[in-house]
Amino acid sequence: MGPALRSLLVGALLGAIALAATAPREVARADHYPCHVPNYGFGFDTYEHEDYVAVYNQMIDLAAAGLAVPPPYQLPSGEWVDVSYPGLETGPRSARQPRTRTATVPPSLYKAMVWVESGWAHAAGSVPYGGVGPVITAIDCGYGLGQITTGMGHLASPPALDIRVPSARQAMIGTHPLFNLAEGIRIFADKWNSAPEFRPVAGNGDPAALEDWYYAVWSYNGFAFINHPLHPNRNPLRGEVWHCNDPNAPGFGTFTWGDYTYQEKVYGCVRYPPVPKGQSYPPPLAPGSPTQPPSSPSLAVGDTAVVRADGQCLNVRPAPAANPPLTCLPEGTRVTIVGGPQDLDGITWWQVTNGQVTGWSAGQYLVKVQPPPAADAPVNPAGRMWPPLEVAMPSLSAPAVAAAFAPAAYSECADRGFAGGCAAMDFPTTIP
Amino acid sequence: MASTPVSPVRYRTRRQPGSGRLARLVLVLTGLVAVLAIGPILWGIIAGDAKHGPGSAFAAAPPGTYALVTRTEGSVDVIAAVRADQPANVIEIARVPHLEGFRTSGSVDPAGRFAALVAVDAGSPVQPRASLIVVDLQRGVAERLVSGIEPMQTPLWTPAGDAVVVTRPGAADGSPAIDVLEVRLDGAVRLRWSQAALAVAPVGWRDGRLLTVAIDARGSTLQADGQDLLHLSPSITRDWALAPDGSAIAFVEVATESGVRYSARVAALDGGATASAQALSDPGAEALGAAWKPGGSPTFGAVPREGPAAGDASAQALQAGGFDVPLGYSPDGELLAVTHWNGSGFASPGRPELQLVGAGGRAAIPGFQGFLGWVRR
Repeated sequence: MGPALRSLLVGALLGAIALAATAPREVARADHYPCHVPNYGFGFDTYEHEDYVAVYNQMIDLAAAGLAVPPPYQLPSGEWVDVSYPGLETGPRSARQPRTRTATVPPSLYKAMVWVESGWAHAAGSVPYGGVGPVITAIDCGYGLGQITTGMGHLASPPALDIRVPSARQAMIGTHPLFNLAEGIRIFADKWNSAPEFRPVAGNGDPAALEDWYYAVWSYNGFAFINHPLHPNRNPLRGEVWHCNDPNAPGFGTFTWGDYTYQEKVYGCVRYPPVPKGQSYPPPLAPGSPTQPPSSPSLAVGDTAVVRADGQCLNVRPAPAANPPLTCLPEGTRVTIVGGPQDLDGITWWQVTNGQVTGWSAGQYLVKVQPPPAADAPVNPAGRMWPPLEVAMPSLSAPAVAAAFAPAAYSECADRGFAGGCAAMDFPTTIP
Repeated sequence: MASTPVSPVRYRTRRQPGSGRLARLVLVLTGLVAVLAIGPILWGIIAGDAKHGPGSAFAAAPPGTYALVTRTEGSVDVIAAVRADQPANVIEIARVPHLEGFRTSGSVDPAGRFAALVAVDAGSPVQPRASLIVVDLQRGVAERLVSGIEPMQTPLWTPAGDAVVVTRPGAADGSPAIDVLEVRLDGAVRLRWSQAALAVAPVGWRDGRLLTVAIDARGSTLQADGQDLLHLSPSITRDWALAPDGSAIAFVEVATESGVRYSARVAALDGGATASAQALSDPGAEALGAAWKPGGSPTFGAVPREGPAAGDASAQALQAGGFDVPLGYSPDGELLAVTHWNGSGFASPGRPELQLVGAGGRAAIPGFQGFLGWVRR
């Protein structure tokens, strides 16, 4: 080892010591843990359908109707495989009817739920559409489209099998989207059927009424207080439902995913279904003309606009194209149009003010702020992954509904492990 | 037969005399670099304050009163300071990562040296888990102190500013419970107590005892070190603000008897008597947010706004429509940080904007949504 090399190594060592001494103890970062520590998840591979919108729509329609998979059957190994549709109980608490397979799960509701759970992906994000690769797996060992956790742990394998080997049922749910969705529907139906013994009844217990699934949807994510609509850490101004990232829906740009309860996310995607990945949302429908979107909005003096500059800031200049700029407004800043337009150097300039600075900015980076549509405004169905449906959330302004969300109603229910059915949380249907 | 061994070092020295001088030069230079690198650290250790490392832009900011604010950019929250008299002049301090779709909540320590943040940085979007992150405002460094705490909560600093109180999901006697944790800045975690409740919110300190609001079957109860102190309401409550002298607590009651209503309330801690907030108890009035003016009375964000009402944040310098939800008064009481909504009421709130309201008017903090507290430099 030459002296020069040795000197470099000594220097590198000293430098490394210096770096280690100056490094923070633990820099904050987003973590990605393997699921089901210490056993880890099963390493399933699966196929992500290229035409995922059409294929998964059809699969959910079949699963929701109880037509996706065969009845329970036994394998030569002795294992019973049952991901079949169990049917639904119907009716209010006082007149509950036995299960029937003629009562089915509303497919739009489960489509929205699958969107919330997995973004309609059965494979991990690294797998291209039309490709094969690892199944999408969450930290809690939720697998695939429906993020199935029930019965997916290692200890759920039959005793005869090596603990590291999945059962046939687990393998089918982990590898095949149709079985995954069928199991998700079966679990969802079980959540519905847990009322009235272990869950409250919403409305009249009518499976055809989307609103009556409120507690079953809540239960799919765990019937936890964090999803209580009056949870004190949630902003009460957030509105009835999540906008499902529809830029024309109320709350978009103000509230985000984490502001809403699980039920509000699911029902939000029923009301404002997403568009296929990579595509644009349709414009809102014009008032009074439910099939015609309005013409593209243009700026005018007096309008409010927001800076949209691809993440950059927008220069405000003392005059059109003049230098140096007065300031640079961050992306998302709201301004008022107070003058203009003036055309110069091929750019349309508008005089804007943010209350602090008044000057001229390029109009191509200003987007007119439209008044938010009413919550019950018709939704433009063009290009969406499934048809939008009008859905009413429990009306908290109605005394009978509000009373169902008093802390005593939930607490007395939770204290008994939800046994007894939580009748105090029953609420009447809000849609006639 | 013995032979005289030839030293390989001498051999290489003789063959490459030039590289020896180069080696000494490299050694001297690397040593110099090393001294420059670790010198400040050694000096910091000798001087007794190892936390004086490389400073953030805020460390060099001129003296004044600053609002500490946050902005969400996808999966990162930007932590920044804006001087009260120049709110458009933003000083970025740190960036804290989290899962996309979430935003951090937090508070500033009494000395204005650290910010405690609760960031959702683990779990999944439908099963989120949060961590307690402490940002050194002088150094601009974020450190995770503990994981697995409840999302969306607002951490509470100890009066000495040496620890933060947060809650995490726990279990007591096999049943779900909430753990109340005290997390020191060195990462040491002390379980203060566990209790069965739907939610527990740390709200302040009085006579050295930790005040929390527990929400359970009884409604909302103010507790001291986990023991009942005052029953606040049979309903869920929110937006709790303890008076600076600890004599009263302002909060918003979420009543459900006749449809959900948000009502301003103030409870005195000494006699256990509960009084409605002055001027905001009219039938039909609703309120959100609560803040105490130093040495004064609580302020709420009330609707509808029908003329100036004492205790309504919107009564201050709001000529146009909309309403304010108060967030916190500056230490001198001259400014009130609010979220201003330009809509007509809670059912149609419109768009929010973070603003600083004073006697001379109001100024927007463009692009920022979150408010962590005030810092005086």
